[in-house]
Amino acid sequence: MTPQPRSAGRSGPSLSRRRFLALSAAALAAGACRNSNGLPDFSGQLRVLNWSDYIDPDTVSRFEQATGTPVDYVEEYNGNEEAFETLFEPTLGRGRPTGFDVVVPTYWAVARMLERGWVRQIPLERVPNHVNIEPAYLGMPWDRGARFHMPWQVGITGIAYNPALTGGRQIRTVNELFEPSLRGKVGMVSEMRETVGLVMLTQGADPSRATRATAERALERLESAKADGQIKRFTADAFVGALTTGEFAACLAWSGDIIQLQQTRPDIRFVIPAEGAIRWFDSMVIPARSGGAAAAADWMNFAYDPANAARITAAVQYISPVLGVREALAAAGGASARLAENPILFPDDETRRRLYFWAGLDTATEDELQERFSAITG
Amino acid sequence: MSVLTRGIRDAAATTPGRYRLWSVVTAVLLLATAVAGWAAATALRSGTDRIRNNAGPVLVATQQLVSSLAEADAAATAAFLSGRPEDPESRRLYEQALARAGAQIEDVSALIGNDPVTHDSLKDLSVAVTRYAGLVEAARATNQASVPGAERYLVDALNLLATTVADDATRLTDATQRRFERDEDRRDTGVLPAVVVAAVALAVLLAAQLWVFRQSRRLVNIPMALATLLLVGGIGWLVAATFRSGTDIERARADGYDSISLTSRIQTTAYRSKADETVALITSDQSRRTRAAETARSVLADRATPAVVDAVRAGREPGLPGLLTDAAGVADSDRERAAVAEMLERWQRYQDTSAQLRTITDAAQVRAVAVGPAAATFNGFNFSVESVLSDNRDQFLEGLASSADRLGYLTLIALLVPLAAAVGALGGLQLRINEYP
Repeated sequence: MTPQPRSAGRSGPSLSRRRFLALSAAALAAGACRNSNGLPDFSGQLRVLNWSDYIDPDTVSRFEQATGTPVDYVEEYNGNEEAFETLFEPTLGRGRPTGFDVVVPTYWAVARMLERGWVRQIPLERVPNHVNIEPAYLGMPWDRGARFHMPWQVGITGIAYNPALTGGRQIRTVNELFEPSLRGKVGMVSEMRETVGLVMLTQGADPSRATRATAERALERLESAKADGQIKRFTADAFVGALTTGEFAACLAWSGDIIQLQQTRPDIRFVIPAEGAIRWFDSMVIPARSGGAAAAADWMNFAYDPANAARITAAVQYISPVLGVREALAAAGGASARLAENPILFPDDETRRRLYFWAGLDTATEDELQERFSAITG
Repeated sequence: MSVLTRGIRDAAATTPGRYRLWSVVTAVLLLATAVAGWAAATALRSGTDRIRNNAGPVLVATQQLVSSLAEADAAATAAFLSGRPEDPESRRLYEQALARAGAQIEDVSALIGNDPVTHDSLKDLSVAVTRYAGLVEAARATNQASVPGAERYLVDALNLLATTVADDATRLTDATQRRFERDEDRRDTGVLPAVVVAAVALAVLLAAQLWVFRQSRRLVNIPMALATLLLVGGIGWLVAATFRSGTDIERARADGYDSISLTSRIQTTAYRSKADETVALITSDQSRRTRAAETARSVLADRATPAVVDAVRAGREPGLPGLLTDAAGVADSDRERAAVAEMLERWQRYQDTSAQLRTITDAAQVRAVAVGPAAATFNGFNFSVESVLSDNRDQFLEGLASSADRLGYLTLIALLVPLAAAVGALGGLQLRINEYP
C-alpha cells in the first residue's frame, strides 16, 4: 500500500468554505422529505464527510462492494471551528439535518456536539466490531462506553526536526525549541489544545488536568516567544513543507505526517518529547437527524474490521484505535509488516505513559483561550 | 325535628322543591368529586414526580457510584503496580473516577432529602470512601518512596472497597429501593376514594335524570346528559392515566432498573474477582487467586466462545450460566443483546490476560502485564458494562418521565370536569324548574 500525500486529519484547502456552504444548502434541501420518525428519508446513498487524504483509496469502493450501499465520500472537513461555523451551527443548531450520515470531528469537537444534542446514538446492533475499540478510547468522560462516537484515527503531536539544520544536534524536549540557537527556525501547530498543552508540559503542568491558569501561563510563554521572533510561525500541516524547504529547523508536528514524510525524507526525525506529547483523535459520529444511521453504522462496522482498519493505517500512517490492526499489518507482510514495528504507530507502555489528552475545559473558557491563541498565531 | 329535616320535608312537598333538592344533592356530590379528584391527582402527580426526580435518580446514582469506585480501584491498582515513575494515565483515571464518586455521593445526598436511614447509609459509605482514598494515597506515597510495606496499604484499600464499601453501597441501594417502592405504593392511594365518590355522584346524576324523565316525559335533558358524559370521561381519564402511568413505572422498573441492578451486580462481582486477583498478585496468596477464579465463574461459568457470543447476539439461549448470560436473558432489544455480547467478548479478553498473568513467573513481566494488557482489558470490560448501564439508565429515566407526562393535565381535569358537570346538572334541573310558575 502506498502512503498518501497527507494533511491527514487536520487542515486543508481554504477554498472549501464556499463549497461547505453549498453542501450545507444541499443538506437543508435534503431535509425536505421526512419519514414517520421526523427524520429525513435515507436517499440510498451514504454521505461521509471526512478530512482530506485520511483514508485508504480503496476503502470506499470495497465498502460499496461489500454492502451494496453507494457512498458519497466528501473530503471537505477542513477544521473543527470552520465546521461549527459553516455546517453544524446553521443546520444542527436550527434543528435541521447536515446532509451527512457520518462526520469526523476531533474529539473535543465531538464532546461539544454531544453536549448540544447534535449526535445520534450508534445503532450498536449493526456494529459488532464496536468490540474492537481500543479500551483507552472508551473512557472519555463525555461518552463513557463510546455510545455516540467511534474513533477514526489517533495522532501524536510531538517534535519533528531536521538534524542538518540543528547542527546535528538531537532535539529531545519542547524546552529546546525555546533556545536562542533555534531563534526564527521554530514552527508550532495552529491547534490550540496541542501547542498550549505541550508548552504546559514544559512548565510542569499536566494538560490532562488543564486549568485556565495553567493554560494562560503557557499562552504567555508562547506570546513572548512569538513576539521576540523565536517562533517563526504557526501552521497546520504546512510544517511538512517548511521542514522540507528548511524554513523550520524544528517544529511541533503530527506523527502521521512525519511518518509519511520519512518515506521520502528519512533524515527528518520525529520524537516524543521527554516532557511528554499530546495525543488526539478524530472520531466518527452520526449527526442528529441523519436519515442514514443504519448505513452509517455499517460504515463504522466496516472501518472497525481489523483487516480494513489495517489498510487505512498503512495509507494514512496514523495510530489506529482498532484492536487487531497490528496483527493484521504483520500478516500483510512487506511494508505493512514494517509498520507493525513502528514505535510511533504502536507506542510501547513506556511511551504511552508520556502521552496526554487535553482535558476538556468548559466551552466558554476554551473559546476565550482559543481567541487569545488566535491573536498570537495571527 | 331539626330545621334541616323540616326544610327538606317542606321542599319535597312540591315538584319545583324536589327539583331543587336534586340540584343540591347533585351539586354537593359533584363538588366532593372535584375535591377528591383534585386531591388524588395532586398526590398522584407529586408521587410520580418524586419517583421521577428523586427516588429514580437516587437509585441510578447509587449504582453509578458503585461503578465509579470499581473503576477508581482498578486504576489505583494499575498506577501502584506501574511503580516509578507512576503511570500518569492510570493516576488520571483514578482521580477522575474518585472525583466522580465524590460528586455522585453529593448528588445522592442532595436527592434523598431528610430520610434518616438513607442518610446513615450514605454517611457510612462516604466515611469508608474517604478512608479508602487515604489508604490509596498512603500506598502511593510509600510506593513512590520505595518504603517497604506499601503493598499492605493497597491490600487494605482493596479489602475495604471489596467488603465495607460494597456492603455500604448495597445497604444504600436497598434503602433507596425501599423508598422507591414506598413512593410507588403511596402514589395512587387517593385514586380509589376519588373514583368511589365520583361513582356515587354519577349514580345520583343518573337517578336525577331518570326522575326528571318521569316528571317531564322528555327523554333527554341535554345539559344533564352532557354533565354525565363529562363525568364519565373524567373518571375514565383519571383511571386510565393512573393505570398507564403505573404501567410506565412498572415497565421502567422491569426494562430499566432491574437491568441496572443486574448490570451493577455484574460490575461489582467482576470487580471483586479483579481485586482478589490483584491481592494474590501482590501478596502471592493463592487462596485469593482461587477465590478470584470462583468469583469470575459466577460472572460467566466458562469461556465466552464465538458461539456463545453469537447466540446472545441472536437472542438464543447461550447454554452457559452466569450473570452475563442472565443479562442476555433480560435484554429485550437487538441493541441490548449486542451490548451484552460486547460485554461477553471483553470479559473473555480480560480472563485471557488474567490466565496469561498466572503463567508468568518473572516479577517484572507480571507487573508489565498487570499494568498493561490486564488493566486495559479490565477497563474495556468495565466501560462496556457502563455503556449498558447508561442505556438502562436512559430507559429507566425515560420511562419515569413518560409516566409523569401522562399526568400532565390530570390535576386540572380532575378539578374542572366535576365542576363543569355540576354546572351542566344544575343548568338542566333549572330548565325544568323554570317551567313551573
